[in-house]
Amino acid sequence: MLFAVPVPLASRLSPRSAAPLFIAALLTTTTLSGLLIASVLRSGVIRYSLGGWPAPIGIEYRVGIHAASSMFMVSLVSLLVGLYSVWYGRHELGSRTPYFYTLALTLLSGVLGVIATWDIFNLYVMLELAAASSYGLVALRSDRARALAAGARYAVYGVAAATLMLFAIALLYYEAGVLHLDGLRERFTSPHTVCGCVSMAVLLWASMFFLAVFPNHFWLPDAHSEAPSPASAMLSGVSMVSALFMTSKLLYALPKCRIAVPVLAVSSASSLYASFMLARSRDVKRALGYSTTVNTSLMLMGLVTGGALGVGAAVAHALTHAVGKALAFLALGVFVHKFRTRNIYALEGAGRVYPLAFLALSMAFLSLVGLPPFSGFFSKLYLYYALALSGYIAPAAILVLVSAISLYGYLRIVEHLWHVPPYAKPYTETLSSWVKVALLGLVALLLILSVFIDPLVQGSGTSPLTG
Amino acid sequence: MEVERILWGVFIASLMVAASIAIWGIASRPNLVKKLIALTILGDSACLFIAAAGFRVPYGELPQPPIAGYPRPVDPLPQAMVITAVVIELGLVLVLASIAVRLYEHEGSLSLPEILVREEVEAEEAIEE
Repeated sequence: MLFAVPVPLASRLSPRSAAPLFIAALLTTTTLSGLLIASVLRSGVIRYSLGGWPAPIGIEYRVGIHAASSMFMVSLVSLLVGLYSVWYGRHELGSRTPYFYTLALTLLSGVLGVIATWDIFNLYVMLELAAASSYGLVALRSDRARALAAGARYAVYGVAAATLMLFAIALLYYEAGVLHLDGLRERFTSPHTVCGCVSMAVLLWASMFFLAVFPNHFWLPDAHSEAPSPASAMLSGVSMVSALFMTSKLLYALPKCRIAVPVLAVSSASSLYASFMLARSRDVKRALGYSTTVNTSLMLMGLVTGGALGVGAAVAHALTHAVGKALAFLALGVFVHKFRTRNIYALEGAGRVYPLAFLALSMAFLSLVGLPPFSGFFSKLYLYYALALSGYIAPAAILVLVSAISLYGYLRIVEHLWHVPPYAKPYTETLSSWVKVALLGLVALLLILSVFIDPLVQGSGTSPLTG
Repeated sequence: MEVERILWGVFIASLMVAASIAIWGIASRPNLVKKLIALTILGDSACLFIAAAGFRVPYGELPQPPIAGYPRPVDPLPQAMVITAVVIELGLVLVLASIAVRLYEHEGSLSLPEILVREEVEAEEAIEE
C-alpha cells in the first residue's frame, strides 16, 4: 500500500508540477507510516497477506514495532531530503530533476518493501527494486564519466550479488518447499543441512555486499561520492536500513547457523579498515562513504550477537545513522555545490560562508561518532551493551576504538572547513529556505530521536524479528 | 532410474559451471559489455536452477504439467519466481546498457578500470564539473 506512490511520477511531467507531486508523495508516505506505528502500538504485530492468500502459501507482510518505526523514520528522512533536493535539482541537476524524483520514490518504495516483507522471494524483488533505483541515482550525473563508471561498477557487482542471492533462495526452496520466513525457520532446525549452510554462506556474502562491509565495500566510496548529494544521503542512510533488515530476516530464517564469530571478526576488521580510510581521505564525500562502511559493520556486529538486544540495537543504530548521515551529506552538499570541489584542502574556510550548514554538519558528525545528547550516542551505547553482554569483549573494544578513529576523521573535516586561510576574506551567504528547512528538520530529528531509542530497543518483544 | 539420476546431476552441475564461468567473467573482463553478457549468463542460470526446483523429487515418476487433472503436477511456484526474476534481470540489463551507451559516447572506451583510473589521475583535485 505504501509503495504505489511512485507510479504517478513515472510519467513525463511538466517541469513546474514535478516538485509539488514529489513532495506530496513523500508527505503521504510519511503520514501513512506514522499511522502504521500507531496501529502497531495499539494492536501488536500487523500481518497482511497479499491477495488474501493465507500465510504459508501466499506472500505475507509482517510489521512489528521495529519495522514500523523504521518505515516511519525512513519516510521522514526521505521527506526532508526531498525538500533539499528541490533546491538541489533547480541548481545542479537541471533537466534531470524529474528523473531524480522518480528514482528517489522507487528507492523509497523498495526500501519500505524490504522492511515490511516476510517472504524471502519478495525480499529479493523489493531489494532489486531499491538496488536498481540506486544504480540509476549514482549514474544520474551522466555528464560525468566518473559517475557513470562508478554506477556501472556498482550495478554490475550489485546484480551479481543479488543473482547469487537468488541461487541461495532457490537452494532454500529445494530444501524447504516454502518461501515464507516462518516456514523456512521451522524447516531449518538443524544446523548441518548442506543446502542450509551453503545458502547461508551465499546469502551472507550478498548481504555484506549491500551493507558494504569490508571485502564487499569496494563499490561504496566511488558510488556515494559521485552520486548527487541528496541521492548520497538517501543511499547511505535509507538503503542501509533496508540492507540491515534484509540481513536480519535472513538470519531469522536460518537460525541455527553458527556464524557469529566469523562475521564478528570480518565486521571488526571492516570497521577498523574503513575508519582508517575515513581518517586519511582527501575527498569529503568519500570520507562519508567510508563512514557508512564503519557504521554498517557496527550494525552487523550487533545483529549477529543474536537475541532481542542485538537486533534492537542494530535497528536503532541504523535509524540514527540514517538521520546523521543524511544530514552530513546534505550539509556537505551545500559546500560542495558552492565551491565546485570535494577536496578537503580546497574547501578551507568554506564553513564560514554558510554557518548554519556548518553547524548542522558538526552536529551530524557528533551524532555519527556517538556523543550525547545526540541519538547516535544512545544507539552506539546499546550496540556496545549487546556486544559486551553477549561476551564478545574484543568487538566491543573495537567499537570504541573505531569511534575514536572516526572522531579524528570527522574533526579533521570540520577543522579544515572552519579554518580560514590567511589570505581569504570571510563572508557569509544565506541558504535557500528549502535547504534551511531540511537541515533544521534533520537536526531536530537527531535530538528528538534520542528520546525514542530506549523504548525502541527495550520494546523488542513486540517485534517478530526477535521471535 | 540410474540414467535419470545421472542426467539430473549433469544438469545441475552444468548450471553450476555456467554460473562459475559467469562470475569469473564479471570479475576478469574489463569491458563493460562483456561484464553485462556474463551477468546475463549468471542470471539465466539462476533462473534455470529455480525452475528445476519445481521437480523437487527428481527420481521416480516424472512430474506432469501443472494443469488440473494430472496425477502429480510439477510445482508452479518456481515458474512464477522465474518469470519475476527474468523481468527484473531485463530491467537491470537495460539500466546497465544505457549506462554503457552514455559511457561510450563520453569516453570512447568501455573499459571500466581504465576509465576509473584515468579519471582518478585527471581529477587529482577532485574538482566537480
